[in-house]
Amino acid sequence: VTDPASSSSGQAAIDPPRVTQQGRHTAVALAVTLGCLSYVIAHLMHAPHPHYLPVSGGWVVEPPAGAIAMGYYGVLLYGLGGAVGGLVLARLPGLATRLQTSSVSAGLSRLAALVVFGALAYFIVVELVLWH
Amino acid sequence: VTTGRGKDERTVDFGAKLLMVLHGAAAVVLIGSSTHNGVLAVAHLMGRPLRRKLRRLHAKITTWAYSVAFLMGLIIYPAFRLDVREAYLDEHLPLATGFFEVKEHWLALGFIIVLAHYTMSRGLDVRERSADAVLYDCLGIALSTVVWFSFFVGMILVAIRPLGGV
Repeated sequence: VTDPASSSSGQAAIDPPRVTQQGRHTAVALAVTLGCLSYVIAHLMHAPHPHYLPVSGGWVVEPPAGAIAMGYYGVLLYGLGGAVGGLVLARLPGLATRLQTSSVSAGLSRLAALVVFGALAYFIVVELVLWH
Repeated sequence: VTTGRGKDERTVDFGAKLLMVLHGAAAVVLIGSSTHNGVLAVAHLMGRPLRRKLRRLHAKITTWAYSVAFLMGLIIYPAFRLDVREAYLDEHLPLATGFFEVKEHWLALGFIIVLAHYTMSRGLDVRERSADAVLYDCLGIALSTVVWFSFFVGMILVAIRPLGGV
C-alpha cells in the first residue's frame, strides 16, 4: 500500500522545480488580479489617498475646495499595494499549498486575464463614455 | 519640474522639455519591444511556437523602457497638469482630457502588468499549451495595447498643445 504522504513527498523530490514554478505563477496571477482590482476599486470608491498640489508643491489627503489637486499618485499606491498584497497572500503558509494545485492555478490565470482586460475597459467607459 | 512664469522660466521649461524628449525616446524603444512581444503572443495563441528566448529578451527591454518612460512621465505630470491641462485642455478640449485620463490609468495598470509579465518571462517554465502560457500571452497583448494607445494619445496631445506652448 502506498502511503499518500510519502508518495506526494516522493513526487516533490523528483520534480521540485515544478512546485516552485507553480507557486511563482500563483503569486504573479494573484498580484496582477489584486493590483488591478485595488486600483479600480480605489478609483471607483474614491478611497482616501494623498493628493499632490502642483501649485504649492504640498501633499494633502483632503484637497481644499477649488485647489488644483492630483490624486493620480495616491491611487497608484493602491494598485501597487494590491499587487504586493497578492504576493504576500501567495506566500501565506496555510493558503500557499491550497492555491498551488493545477486547477486553482489555471483558474487564477483566467481570472487575472479577465481582470486585466476588465480594468482597461472600465477606464474607457468611465472616462470617455459616462463622463460625456 | 515647475511651471513658474518668472525669470527662471527658460531654465525650468528647458528641464521639462528635455525630460519630455527623453520620455518620448524611451517610448519609441517601448513601442518596438512591446509590439514584438504582442505579435509573438498573438502568434502563439494562434498555434505558433512560444519563442521563449526571444520573448524573454523583449520582455526585459520592455520592462526597462516602460519603467524609464513611466518614471519620467510621473515627473513631468505636474508641469503638464498646470501648463497644458488646466491652461487649455479642460476648457477647450475636454474630450482630450478624457483620453489623457484613460492613458494615465492604463499606464498605471500597465506598470503592474509589465512587472508581472517580466516575472513570468524570467522565472516560469511556461509550457506550450497551459494556463501559464495563456496568461503570459494575455499580459503581452495587454501591454502592447496599452503602449500603442498611450503613444498615440501622447503624440496627439503634444501636437495639440506642447509643454510650455502658448
